[in-house]
Amino acid sequence: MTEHTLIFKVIRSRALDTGTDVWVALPEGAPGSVSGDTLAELLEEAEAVKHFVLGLSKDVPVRVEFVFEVPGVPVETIDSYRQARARLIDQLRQAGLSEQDSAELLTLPGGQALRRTA
Amino acid sequence: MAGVLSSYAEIRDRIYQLARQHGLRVDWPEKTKSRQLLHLVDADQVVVAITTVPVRGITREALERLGADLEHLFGKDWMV
Repeated sequence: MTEHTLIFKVIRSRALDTGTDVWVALPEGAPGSVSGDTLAELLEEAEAVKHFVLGLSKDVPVRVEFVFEVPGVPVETIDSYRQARARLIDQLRQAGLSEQDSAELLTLPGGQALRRTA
Repeated sequence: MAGVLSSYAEIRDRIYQLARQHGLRVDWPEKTKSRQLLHLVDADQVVVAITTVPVRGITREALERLGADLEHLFGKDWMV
């Protein structure tokens, strides 16, 4: 079965009902929108509506992608960091680290050097 | 955005009003944390519009998208 891809443009915007800034995701080439207080919530919302906005039944595979529009930060910068981070995690996994340890290592405060032992 | 509907209740009521005028049935198949999913269905049971109505996290962009999604049925300024 063909996998469909749905791309969401993601921005920050002020919510009129709460007066706080929220994440908003607008699907490209499809109707509707979703929002969330956190990115995790937003991703959950996007997953929840993806079949509906495409008019597809839930047994059809749909992959979701996000393009983040953050003021002052080029989209390419975010994308290239995420790709570099994914490659690095891959290398750490190949070195024998668990997925959790790999992610944890990359968030340790500065000055914690990874020494090569081989 | 003065004069534009901006609460879920106002928008929902306007959708029902306009749907009645156009002979359409309003169907809410599902609800997520931030949206009510909406189908508008004609007399032949054909879905003529699909969109999401903001329940929380109601931003200008979400309202503009909703306005555009139903413009072909209700006209350009249906939310005013």
